[in-house]
Amino acid sequence: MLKFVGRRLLQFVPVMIGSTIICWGLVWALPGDPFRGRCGQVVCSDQYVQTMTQRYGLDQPLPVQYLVFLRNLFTGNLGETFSGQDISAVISQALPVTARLAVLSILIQVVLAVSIGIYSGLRQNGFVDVTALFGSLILFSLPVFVVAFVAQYVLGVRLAWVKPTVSPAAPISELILPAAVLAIGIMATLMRVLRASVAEGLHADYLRTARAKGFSERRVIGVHLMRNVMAPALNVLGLEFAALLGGTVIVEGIFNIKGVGGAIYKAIQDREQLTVSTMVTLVIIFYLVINLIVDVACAQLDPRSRDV
Amino acid sequence: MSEPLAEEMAAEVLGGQTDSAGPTGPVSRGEEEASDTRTRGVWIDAWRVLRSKPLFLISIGVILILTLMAIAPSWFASGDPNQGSLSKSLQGPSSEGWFGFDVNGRNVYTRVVYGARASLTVGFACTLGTTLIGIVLGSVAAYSSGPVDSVISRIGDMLLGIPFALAGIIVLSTLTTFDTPNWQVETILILTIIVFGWPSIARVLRSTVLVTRNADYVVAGKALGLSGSRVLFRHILPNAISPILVLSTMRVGGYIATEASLSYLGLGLHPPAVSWGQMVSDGQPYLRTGFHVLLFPSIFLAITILAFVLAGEALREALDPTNRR
Repeated sequence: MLKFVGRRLLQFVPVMIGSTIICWGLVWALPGDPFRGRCGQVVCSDQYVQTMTQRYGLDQPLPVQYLVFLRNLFTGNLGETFSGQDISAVISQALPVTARLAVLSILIQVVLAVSIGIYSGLRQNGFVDVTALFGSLILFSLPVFVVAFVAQYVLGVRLAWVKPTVSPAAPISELILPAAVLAIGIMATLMRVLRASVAEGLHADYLRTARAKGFSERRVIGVHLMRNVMAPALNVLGLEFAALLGGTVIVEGIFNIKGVGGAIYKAIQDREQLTVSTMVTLVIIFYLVINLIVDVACAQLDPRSRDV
Repeated sequence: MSEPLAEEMAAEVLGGQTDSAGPTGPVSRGEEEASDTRTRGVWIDAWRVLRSKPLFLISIGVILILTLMAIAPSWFASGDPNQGSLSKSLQGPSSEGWFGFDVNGRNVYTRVVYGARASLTVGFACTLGTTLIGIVLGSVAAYSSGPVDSVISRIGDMLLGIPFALAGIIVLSTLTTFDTPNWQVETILILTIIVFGWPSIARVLRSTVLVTRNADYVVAGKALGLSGSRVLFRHILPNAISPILVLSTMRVGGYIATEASLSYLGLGLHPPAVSWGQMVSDGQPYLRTGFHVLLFPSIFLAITILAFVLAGEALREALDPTNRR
């Protein structure tokens, strides 16, 4: 196990560095001067452009810029936006909201997907199974912004059960609808994986052995089967974090939530390169760390996956 | 945004594939005819199963109609999608305009028909690109192993480490402005999706090839003295192709959704080009007064994606050897 964690960490470092370089390069190394268009109707004076370029270290060669960026990232000094606001302040304002949204959304999808997925796996081709299978395909096909609009219109505007948009404080009660919207599209995958692995596990030798040993049905399903079902489900949940993170940008925009996704999108539109690269890099590192944890957890649950 | 599901489904096929490559797999007789009849056999079998599946036939029909719509939109709708009369602004569906009119009085039906082109172009081009690159790099990685394999796999991991939507947003917002011509925006969009999309295809192909590489018929082919490339192209790839085919079919929908989402964010095509995502985004301020403006493009978007997903699903079932008993 320790060997697996070590090897996985060894793989993690170059991938993380590579991903951050790609992302940072996309933001910075592409053509275009970030300061040229920042003065409204007037053409920016050369002096302004020069001062800003120096102040943000853009006159140095690209590799040096990247190293400075990394150093700043790890010392916790995230720098400031082009308008002088601390980036860490922007993030600390937005993060709690997005964290609540993401946790709520994961909670919704795990509860729904696990209960429906396992039930339909145990009773294959039953009514619940067929309905859920077809329903999940349809939900999977709907882009997140379509689901968001329909939910906002039907539940928020027509029926007025919930507020169509979220207030700045973003209490949990108002975040339920956006979180459910985020969960719906992603849930389908988790559900299908659970169904498939439960169905497969039911015919597996280890289950017959467990029954032959005389364990109660509850223990056979709840302990022996579940342990084998958990690993692939966890894996999918980790991978789906990408969809979740991408989805927050859109959902936060539609429901007017002041979170990280919205902040990234706003920064892109304002051409705040430094803010964008910092936030996106942090998001990517977060995503990679989550998947690292998931891999380790899977290896703990299923020793076979340690050899891969 | 739909990668994980598709990947998982391909993995299911992969599972089936593993079975067929094991002891129950095809036994190699004379190499040439064996591979020929077997390959043809698999596809004919699959076609027999597919032909009798109504869901598959319907989705293929929908895809064909949409393709025709993309090639010749004027066969389906008369009039100019960008011409509107303000007197009809936000009018609901009527016999004159089946899907109603948008805020500028433009016919929503005509615009929806013309919007098919952008979605399908992106969907097909991205699928072609990611599949080809994925197949080449995936098989090279699996077949060469060693340092080449590590390099390709790690580069793939790095690209997969960046959430798809974020990558698209960043590239499009840095490389395009509102003056960028539409064909350029579309090319950049397609290339971005291809660059960030090939690793998941390559990954599936690599693991399939790794499984197939040690199958009896491949070992037999090598023992007969066949060259490496012949073994790869005639024996390994035909067996590895079905999970890729399924995965690719399903991902067409994912690419279309990505294009729509980016256009929705205002980063994709801009007027005079018409795209469904852009129509939804245009309709957003009139959510309360003219819901039909965003409803119909959304429905078309959903139907298109669903057609590809269902076709892929049917293909998966048809190609899965465990279903053929």
